[in-house]
Amino acid sequence: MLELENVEVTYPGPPPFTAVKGINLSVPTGSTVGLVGESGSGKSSIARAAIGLTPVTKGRITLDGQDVTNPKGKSLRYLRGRAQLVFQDPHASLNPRMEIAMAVQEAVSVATGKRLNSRECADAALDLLDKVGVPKAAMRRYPHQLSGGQLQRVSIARALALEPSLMILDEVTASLDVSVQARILNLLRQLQRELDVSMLYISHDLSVIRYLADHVYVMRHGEMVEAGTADQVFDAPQQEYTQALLSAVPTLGGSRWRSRHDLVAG
Amino acid sequence: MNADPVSNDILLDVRNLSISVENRDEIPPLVRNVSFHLNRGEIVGIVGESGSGKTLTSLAVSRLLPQGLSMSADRIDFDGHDLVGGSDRELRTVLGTNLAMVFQDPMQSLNPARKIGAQMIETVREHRGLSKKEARALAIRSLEDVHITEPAKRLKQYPHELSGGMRQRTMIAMGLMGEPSLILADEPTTALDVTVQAQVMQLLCDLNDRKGSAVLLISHNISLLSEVCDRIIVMFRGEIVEDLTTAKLLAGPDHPYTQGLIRAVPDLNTDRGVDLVTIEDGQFDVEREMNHA
Repeated sequence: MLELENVEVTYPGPPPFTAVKGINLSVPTGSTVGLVGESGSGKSSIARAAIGLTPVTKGRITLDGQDVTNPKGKSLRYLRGRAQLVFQDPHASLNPRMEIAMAVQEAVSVATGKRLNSRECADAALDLLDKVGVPKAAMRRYPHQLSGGQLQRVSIARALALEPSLMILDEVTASLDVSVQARILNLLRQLQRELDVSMLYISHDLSVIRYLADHVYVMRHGEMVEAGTADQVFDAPQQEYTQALLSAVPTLGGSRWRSRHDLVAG
Repeated sequence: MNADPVSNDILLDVRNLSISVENRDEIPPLVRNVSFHLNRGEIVGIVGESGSGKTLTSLAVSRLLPQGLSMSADRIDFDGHDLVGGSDRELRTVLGTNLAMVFQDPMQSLNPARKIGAQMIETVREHRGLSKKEARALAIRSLEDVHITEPAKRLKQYPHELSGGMRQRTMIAMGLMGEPSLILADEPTTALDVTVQAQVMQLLCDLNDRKGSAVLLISHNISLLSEVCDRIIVMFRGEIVEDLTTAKLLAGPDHPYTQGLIRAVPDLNTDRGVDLVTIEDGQFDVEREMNHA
C-alpha cells in the first residue's frame, strides 16, 4: 500500500537540517503500522512527507504503486483521495467558526464531487459523526464547545469522509485524558475491524503502539533503528536503543527507580 | 489512620481545603473539602484527569493560586508553620526555602533573558542571605547533585541552551539550594521523552533517599506514580475519591474510579484482542458529562 524508499527530508536552513535520513518503511494493505520515537526522531516529518505536506529531498514514496513523491496536480488529488492525516491538536485542524456537522459535511462534499446534493452530504456527515461516537446533541456545536476527545472524533470523522484506504494518525491521543484516550483507541480498533483501512500510527507512547500495531518501526535522530513485527520488536528487541526505550516505560507496580522500596501492605 | 497533626512525622497537613472562583457563587467550588497529609521523607502521588483539582491543590499549598481564585482551609500546616494564618514574612521564608517546586514546563519558570547562574544565585541570596561567592559555590554543588555535567559552564548559559531534561533538573537544583523538606513536582516529566523521564524520576528518588526530602508528585499517569510513591491520592472533579498505599493500589483499589483509571491505560502487556475498559460509570465519566453540558 504505502511504500517509502530511502526517503530523506531536509529542511532548508540556514543551516539545513536533515530530519529524516534515508529511511525505508512500508504499510501493507489492511495492517496497522506503528512508528515510535522520541522528540526530534523525525516521525512527524515522515507523516507530513507521506501526505505531501513536507517536500521530500531524496527517495521515493508510492501509494498502491503510484508515485506520490512531492505530489502536485493529478498525483496530489490521487494521494489526498486515498490518504488522510489526523493531527495531535484538533483545535488547530478544525475551523473554529464552523459547526462540526458542517466541517464534516464540507469534507463529504469534497469527497463526492457533484454526486450528492447538500441534503445528502449533510446526512452522510451525520452518519459519519454517529459512527465515530459523537452524540447528536453535539453535532450543531462549534469546536470550542466540545471536549478534546470529542474533537478528535470529529477529526477522525472528517478523515473518514474521504473513504481513505490509508489513515496516518500522528499522536492523536497525546493531549487527551487517559479515560478519553481509551475510547479513541477502542474506536480506532473498531475502524480497523469494520473498514478496509490501513493505518500508520505515530506515537511516542510505546504502550499504545504495542496495543494497536501489527508492525513496528523505531526511529531515532532521523534514522530507522529497528523494524519488525510488533512481537519481534517488543518481545525480543535487537537494538540497544529499543531496549532502553522499552525499559524506560513506567509500568504498574514496577519499582525501577527506588533503591529502598518499603511498601507496607494497605 | 491515626493522623495526629502534632506528631513530628507529619510534614504537611491539609484539612478541609476548598478553592472557589471569587465573586461567582453560582460556580461550584473547583476543589472541595480536600484533606490529606504527608509524612517526612514520604513520596506521595496525586493522580487525576484534567479538571480534577490536583494542580490547584498543589498551588494552594504553595500559596501560588492565580488571581481570581480564593481558598479556605481549616488548616494547612507545613513543617511546623501555619500557612493559613501565618504572616506574609513567615510564608516567604518557609515557602522560599523548605519547599521546592517543579512544574511541567521549566521554560515558564526560568527567565529566558537571564543566565542560569544569576537566577540560581538570586534566589538563595534572597532567602538565605549568602554572599555571592557562597551562593555560587552552592549553585555548583546543587547542579552536581542533579548530575548536570560542567556545572560552572552551565551557570553562564541561558535556559534555551539547555535541553528539556537539563532545564527540569536545573529547576530541581534551584529548589535544592534551600535544603527543602518537601519537593512539590507537578507533572515534571509530562513534556519529556520517556528516557529523560526515567532520569528525572531516578533523580527525585535519589534525592529522597540521600537528603530525606519528601516528594509530592502530581501526575495523570498512575503507572508512573505506582513505581515511585509510597501512597497515592486519587482526585476526581475537585474531590479526593481515594487515598491508598501503593501496595493497596496494586492489590486492587476499592473505588470504581481508581479501578477505571488503571484499566483504561494500555501497558506493554495489555491483551490486544480486547477493547480497553472505559470508565462507563456515569458518575465518573468525563466525556459523557461534556456531552450533556
